[in-house]
Amino acid sequence: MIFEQNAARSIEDCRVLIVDDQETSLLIMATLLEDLAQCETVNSASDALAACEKQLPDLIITDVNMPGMSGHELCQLLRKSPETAQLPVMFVTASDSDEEQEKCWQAGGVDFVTKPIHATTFRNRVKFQLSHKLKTDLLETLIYTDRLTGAFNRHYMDERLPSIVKEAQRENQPLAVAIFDIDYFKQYNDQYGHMAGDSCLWKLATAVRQNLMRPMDHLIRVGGEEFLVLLPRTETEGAEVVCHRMLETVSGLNIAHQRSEFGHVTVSIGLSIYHPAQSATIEDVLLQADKYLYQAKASGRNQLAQAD
Amino acid sequence: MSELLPIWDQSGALQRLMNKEALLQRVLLMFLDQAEPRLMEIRADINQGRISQAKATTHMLKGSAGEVGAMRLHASLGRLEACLISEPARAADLYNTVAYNYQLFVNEAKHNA
Repeated sequence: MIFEQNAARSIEDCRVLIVDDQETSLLIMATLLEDLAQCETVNSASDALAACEKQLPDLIITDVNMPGMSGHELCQLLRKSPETAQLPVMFVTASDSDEEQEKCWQAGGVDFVTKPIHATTFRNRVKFQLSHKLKTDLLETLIYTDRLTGAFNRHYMDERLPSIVKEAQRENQPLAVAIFDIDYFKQYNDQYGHMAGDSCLWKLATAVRQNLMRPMDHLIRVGGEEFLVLLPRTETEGAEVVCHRMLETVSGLNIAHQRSEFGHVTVSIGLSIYHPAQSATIEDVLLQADKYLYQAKASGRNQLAQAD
Repeated sequence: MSELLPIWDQSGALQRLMNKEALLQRVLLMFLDQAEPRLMEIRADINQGRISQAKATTHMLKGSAGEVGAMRLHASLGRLEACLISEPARAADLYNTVAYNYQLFVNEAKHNA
């Protein structure tokens, strides 16, 4: 399911963000790439950062010398955030002097072209970077994605959770942690068979994932029928909204379940919030969310439990 | 030295743009639109001692000049840019060469339009 999505993605589907304060340069680069990939152009490094917040591109091509933030500074800033650290950045420089080349590599760029741009060289270099990006994405999908549900897997959580927590600490922002699992799932498998059980997991995970509105929100399959949702920069109120939406979404799927008192598949959710300023570690918060999950089960299932 | 360079390397510019004539025309029009105001800014900034501003605008115009194949202009803007860094006192002199090379380019571009 998720692999078909990535396998189908080609260079033409890739998004290239072109950053230059010169309109003529933007026109040239966008026109030279228009039949290769989806291009977006912006005039400054700060506009580029805003564009990345909305949707991550597959490649950034940036001029070096710009008013305000330079292309090098833009690249260095992107490297500091986990969301954008792996974004390939190609520089467009006025000079290929040794000094300039050193600066490009030190800033974290993956390649550079010199102005005035030579179309064939430019296009081939972009094609190479996009092809490499597609292969990397596919590899990451294979490593970090749960094959059945399309959610992230345990390996992803082990790798990424520390940096998500670090980001929360750096920004002094709360991180909401919700753990949910499917009510009476063993009974569901016994009643309908494991293939139906797999299908149920896939439908549920797909629906929940579609309900997570922001690119920074994560759905992670941590056990057979157990999932973790990470909501960065989210306090209790916001997390409650998301959790209630998840409950409604799952109920709304109306997956028949004869052995549940609700008549259809439901989930129970435990919610806890990590606050960087407080002494509780992320491990404490995960444990707490797990305890609330049990509380939700003990209180009748198909509900959310959290701190009073 | 820049006298050895063509005023307008039109075929070179076209080749760099994969022979997309329409694209070169559009870029040329954009360049001609912005070049004079930018040259005036550079002159004013040099006269007022706003060296870093003059350098930034010179750098920008140099890039566009290269894109359209205005080789002599591109070279003289490069020298002006370097001069603004190392010997700003000479910038006013070099600016005159830039302005002259710009005029040569405009005449050539109009003639070949």
